[in-house]
This record gives sequence, structure tokens and C-alpha cells, in this order.
Amino acid sequence: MLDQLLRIVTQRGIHTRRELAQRLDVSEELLQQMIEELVHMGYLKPVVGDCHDRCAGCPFATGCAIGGAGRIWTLTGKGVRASDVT
Amino acid sequence: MPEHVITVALAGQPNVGKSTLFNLLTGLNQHVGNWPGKTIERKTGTCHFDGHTLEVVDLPGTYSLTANSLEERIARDYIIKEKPDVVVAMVNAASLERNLYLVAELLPLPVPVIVALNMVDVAESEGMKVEPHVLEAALGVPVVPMVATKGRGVKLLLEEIDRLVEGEVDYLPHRPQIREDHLEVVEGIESLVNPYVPDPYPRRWVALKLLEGDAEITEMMRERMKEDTWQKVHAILHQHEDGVVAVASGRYDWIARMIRAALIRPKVGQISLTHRLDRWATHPFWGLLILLGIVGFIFWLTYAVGAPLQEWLDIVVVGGAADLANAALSGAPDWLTSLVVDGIIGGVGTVLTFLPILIIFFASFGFVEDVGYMARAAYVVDRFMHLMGLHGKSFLPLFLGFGCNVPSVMGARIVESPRARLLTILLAPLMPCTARMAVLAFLTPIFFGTAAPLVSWGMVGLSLVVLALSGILFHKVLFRGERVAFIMELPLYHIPDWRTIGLLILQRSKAFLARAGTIILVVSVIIWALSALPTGDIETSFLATIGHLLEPVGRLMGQNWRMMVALLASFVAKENSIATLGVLFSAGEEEAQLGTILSQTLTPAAALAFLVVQMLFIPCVATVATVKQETDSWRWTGFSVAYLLIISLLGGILAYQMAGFVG
Ligand SMILES: Nc1nc2c(ncn2[C@@H]2O[C@H](COP(=O)(O)OP(=O)(O)OP(=O)(O)O)[C@@H](O)[C@H]2O)c(=O)[nH]1
Ligand SMILES: [Mg+2]
Repeated sequence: MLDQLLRIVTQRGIHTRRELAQRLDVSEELLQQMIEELVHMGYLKPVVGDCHDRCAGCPFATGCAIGGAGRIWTLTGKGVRASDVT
Repeated sequence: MPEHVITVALAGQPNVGKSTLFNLLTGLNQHVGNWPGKTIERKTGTCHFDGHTLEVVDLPGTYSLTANSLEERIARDYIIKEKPDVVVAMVNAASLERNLYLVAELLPLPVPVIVALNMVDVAESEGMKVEPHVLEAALGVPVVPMVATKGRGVKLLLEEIDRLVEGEVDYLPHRPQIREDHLEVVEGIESLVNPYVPDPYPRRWVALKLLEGDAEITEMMRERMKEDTWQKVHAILHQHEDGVVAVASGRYDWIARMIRAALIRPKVGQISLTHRLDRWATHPFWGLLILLGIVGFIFWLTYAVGAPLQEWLDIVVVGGAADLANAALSGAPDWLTSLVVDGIIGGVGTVLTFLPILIIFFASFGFVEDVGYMARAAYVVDRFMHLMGLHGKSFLPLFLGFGCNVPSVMGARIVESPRARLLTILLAPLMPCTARMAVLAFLTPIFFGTAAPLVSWGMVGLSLVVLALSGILFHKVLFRGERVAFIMELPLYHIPDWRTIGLLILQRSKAFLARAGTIILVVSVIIWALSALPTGDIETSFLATIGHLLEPVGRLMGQNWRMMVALLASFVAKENSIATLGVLFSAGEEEAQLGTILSQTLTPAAALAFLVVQMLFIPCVATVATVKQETDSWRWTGFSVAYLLIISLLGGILAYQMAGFVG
């Protein structure tokens, strides 16, 4: 199921967590758990986390709401390689 | 009858109620100590039931059995080495998915498991229903529903323990299976390690843990195995680095199966508001329509509320200030009156009248951001972003461009890939920023009357289309295609916080006023000076000379030299177009409003052309500086400026010629 998740994620741009949950026929909660596991394994990484460093030095940092409240995850290099194999 | 002591270990994730049950079972017969060599509390106690004595051990709460933490190691070592008669796996019925992960890890161990389905009261209150019998059938192990705090289900649990120990039930658990394609790998490892696995450890389990990369087990096996056999194992492991995914995958497949069977969620009618709204907001077609509708509504609001206010300010405040200044400076030299009235009030004053328009913009976009809509917008446009080799995430910085291109260019930092980042930076200046929108909002009603919203819509649409086409072009010509992938969480919609929005409006308005007081003031004065020097007659001024130089290009678009100067000035700050026109047209013409004059001097076709150029023109100097800073390349900065210059002029000429042709 994790490999299936990785494969779907690489297919096409942005996926919402809900859409992925529906495609894998699992709850959003379980999907969140899988995302966390893949982050832990180094296949995915959260995006918003490192935004704060990058926003350092940007005078608009306070007024700007890039990413909004929702979290975003992206494939790491390892994730891309893994989904290429399978 | 000899006393028969049954050891029972309580396992479970933190906070599921293990200690509650432990206290209930053991009462005062408790012994508290430490796990050998560890500082973690070890609680054991005894309990008598139906002629048996139960020795109960309260294991530390753990999420899994991966040996990541001390607690996990203690729990797993205890179960494997001390082999209790029964492990009671306590799970929280209200959070079954998360809790089943530990059960998935417990089942492969050589100890019978009973699932204590605790907190059914909490699950019920949340509208969830777990069917214990169905879960039992799916798991193949006994399941006892409980509310530990109320003592419900405890007797049943003790009976189940009894039955299991007495061998009155068949214990046939359905264990998670590793993905098909890795089965052989596991078997291969298993046969290699088989002779070396120390006694209490199950061989299959050790093989799986090796595949998972478990540090403790790897270390243990490496020490015990002969070097050459270990090398064989190591080679297999190295070849299957994704083994960890395969093993964990098996667990998730298993959890999903259990959940599908046994968990009934709140009914469809109760799907939260967010889900219902998102069915529309993220729909490929309706979602796009909604996005366009929202942007359109914001423009409409600007025109319906902002434009009249702006006009009123222009007449009352700017006109009034000019009258006042004229009166106050009646004795002063002409040039001073001209500087104040034409230069400063005509320039800066006119720009200041934009404030209501900007506030409406800031408020509307702040509202949309705060309500949680932005993530949906990014999702909906993702398909289009792909054509440009970008993805929805680039949409976020681009969307900021509606406010100002500077943060938009800076926002490109969130895009990881250098190529996509550069592309985002190159495209950002094509986003119609508020300053440009304000110019648009000021000029369109003058030329197009009631059709103004439509024309503005068209202009914004044009900017976006040019942006898209440029993106596709750049993607095809300059960059190779690149794959990007994201998962995003659509946050729940929520009632906007007016304080946040208020703060946003305040911050951005302050920034705008600061610009008006500095960069726009300076440019207004310079434009005024250039228009007054050397003779005092604007037609022979330096500015006219510059303007006449630009006229040949202007003529292709139906622009006179004043309009060309206005365009040129907009490089410093977009609002300067209006400031410049304010200076240029208020000079000499008494009392008449800028709008009236403009509508008399330009044909609609020329006005349209002017708007097109204005929208697509080189961004303001602040944006260009930011592009330089962010790309760290004069070449790309130069490219960006040149590209926009060419595109905008071509656009203007095309618009003028076509509009003239159509009529
Ligand atoms: N509503 C409800 N609350 C419960 C139930 N069982 C336990 N609780 C409460 O859940 C909280 C945690 O219970 P504990 O027994 O401390 O949980 P634990 O599993 O020992 O937690 P750790 O020691 O951290 O692993 C306590 O406040 C209990 O009162 C239940 O069936 N229903
Ligand atoms: Mg406890």
C-alpha cells in the first residue's frame, strides 16, 4: 500500500490527501499515518517545514501566507527512485 | 488443585487505558519497580480469578515495536524473552487505525494476543461504531469491547484469557503478510539465518526485521553469523533497500482490511461542511468556475464600492487640497504653486485616492486566504500549471502576485527545483499586481463606462493567458520537462478571523502609503521638474523631448507622448502612470478632472492598447531588483525585462490595430 501510494504520487502533480485516501480506499486518518511513516523512512518530506528558513530575509514573511494552513509533502530523491523501481 | 499462575502483559499505545485496567485488575496487589537497567517504571501485580492467579505486567506505551525507543525495546524484549501466556493488546476504539499498527506488530510474535477494544464510549460519542464480532472474525483473535474507566468488559476479558489459556478456543490469527513480490526475499533471508537465530526469537520475524533494517536485530545477527553467510544476507538486504516499504506496506494493507470490515463511520449525511464544499471547490470544472467567480466577484466589489469612493476622494480631497494649496500659495512664485499643485497633489494625491480600492483588494484576498480557500485554488489550477512544467505549488507564489510582484518573486523560494523556481520568477511579473489593478480600476471607468468591469476582467484574463503561454513557451524552449509531485492537505474551512485580516490590511496599506510618501513623491516631483524645465512650457520641456523620442513606438499603438512618458514612469512604480498623467494633464488645464481630459484625448482603441501595455509592461523597479536578487543573475534579469518589454509592446500594437480594425 505504501508503494502504491508512492507510485500514485509520482504520477501527476498535486494530490490532495482526501483524493489519495479515496483511491487507496482507506480513511484519511490512515493515509495521514502512511504519509508520516514515509516521512519517517525518508521517502517524503514536509514542505512547509523548511519554508520558514527560506522566508528568512523576506520582508513580506509576516503578511504572506504561502501554503496556507494546509500541510504539503513532496517526494524526496529516495522517494522518486523508489517509485521508479516499482 | 495446584495454583496455576498465568502471566498477562498489557500492551498498547500510550494513553489507551492500560494503567486504568491494570489498577482495576490488581487493586492493592501491586509492585512497582524498574525495568532491569532502565529508568522506566515496571509495574506488576496479581489478580485472582476463577481459581487462577494472574500475574499482570503493565508494559510501557508504544506506537510500534521497531526498537526506536527504549519503551519499544522493553516491550518487545519482554514479550519475546519472557513469553507471557497472553498479551492483551489494548486499543482505543476511537482511533482504531493508529492503534492497530501495534497489533499488526504483535501478531507475528509467538504469544497469543487478545484485543481489548477500549474506549468504546468515546468512539460512540464521536459517531463511530466498531463491530467487535466482525473485528474478531477479521483478526482471528478474541476481541473484548471495554470501557476501562467504568469497569465495563473486564469480566469478559478475564473469561477470554481463561478460555484462551485453557485451550478452549482455536487461536488462528490473520497476520499481516509482506507484499507478494518480497515473499521470496524474506524466505531467502530466513533460510540463511535459520541456524543462527537464538532461541526465543521466531525465525520469520527476525528475517522480516532484518529486511526492515532494524538496528538491534541486525547487530545481533551480524555478531552471531559467520562472516561469509552474513555477507550473503547483507547482499540481499542491500539489493532490497525498499524492503522496509514492503514490510510496512503489508501492515497497512492489513489495517485497511480490518478497518473496512469492522469500522462504521459517521453516516454520509454527517460529512463535514468542508467535504461538501470541496466536492465543488476541487472539482475540475466547477472548481475552476468557482475560482474565476471569486476573482470576478472581487473585481466587481472593487468597482461597485471602491471606484466611486476613489472618484469621490479625487474630487473632494485632491480637488479640495489643490484649491486650498492654490489659495495658500497665492503670493508665492508660480513655480512653487505648480510644484505643489501639479507635482505633489496631482501626482501623489491622485495615487493616494487608490487607497479604498486597495483596501477592498487586500480585504478580499485576505478573506479568501484566511477562510482556507487558497489550497483549493492551488489544487484546481494544478492541471494548467503542468502545461508550463510547473505544479500547483508554484501557483501559491504566483497568486501572491495579485498583491504585489515582489513577494511573488520571493515566494518562488518555496519551489524546490531550481528550474521550476526560475520559471516561477520569470512568470511572476505577469501577475496583475494591485498597483496595476488600481491603475486599471482608475482608467477603465473613464474610457469604458459601464463596460469597465468587463474590460478589467479581460485585461486580467489577458495577463493570465500571456502568463500561461509564456510558461508553456519557456517550458518547451528553455527547460526540459521535470517531474514534480505533491501531497497536500486541504485544511478545514473556517470562519475567518477578522483580526488577522485587519492586520493584513493595515500592514499592506501602510506599505502602500510609505511608497506614496517616498518613491511616488520623488517620481512625481522629477516628472514635474522635467515637465517644467527648461522653459516652463510643457510642450518644449525635457519630458516632451523624451516623450517625442518614444512617440514613433507610441504611434503604432495610438499613444501620444504623454502616455508614453506615463508608461516609462510606471517602471519606477506602477502607480506612477497615474501620478504622471496627473502631473502632465493637470499642468495648464485649470479645474478639469484628469478623467475628463483623458477621455477626450484618447480613442477607445488607444486606451485599450495603453491598458494592454500597462498590464504586460516591465515590472516596477522593486520587482526587477528582486528578480536580480533571487536569480542572482544579470542575464536572467535582463532576459525578463527584455521579454516583458517586447511582449507588452507587441500586445499594445496588436490591440490597437485590431481594435481599430473592429471599430
Ligand atoms: N472515556 C474513557 N476514558 C478512558 C477509558 N479508559 C481509560 N480512560 C482514560 O484515559 C486516560 C489514560 O489512561 P491510562 O490508563 O493512564 O493510559 P495508559 O495506557 O496507561 O497510558 P500510558 O501509561 O501513557 O501508556 C485516563 O485519563 C483514563 O481515565 C475508557 O474506556 N473511556
Ligand atoms: Mg500507563
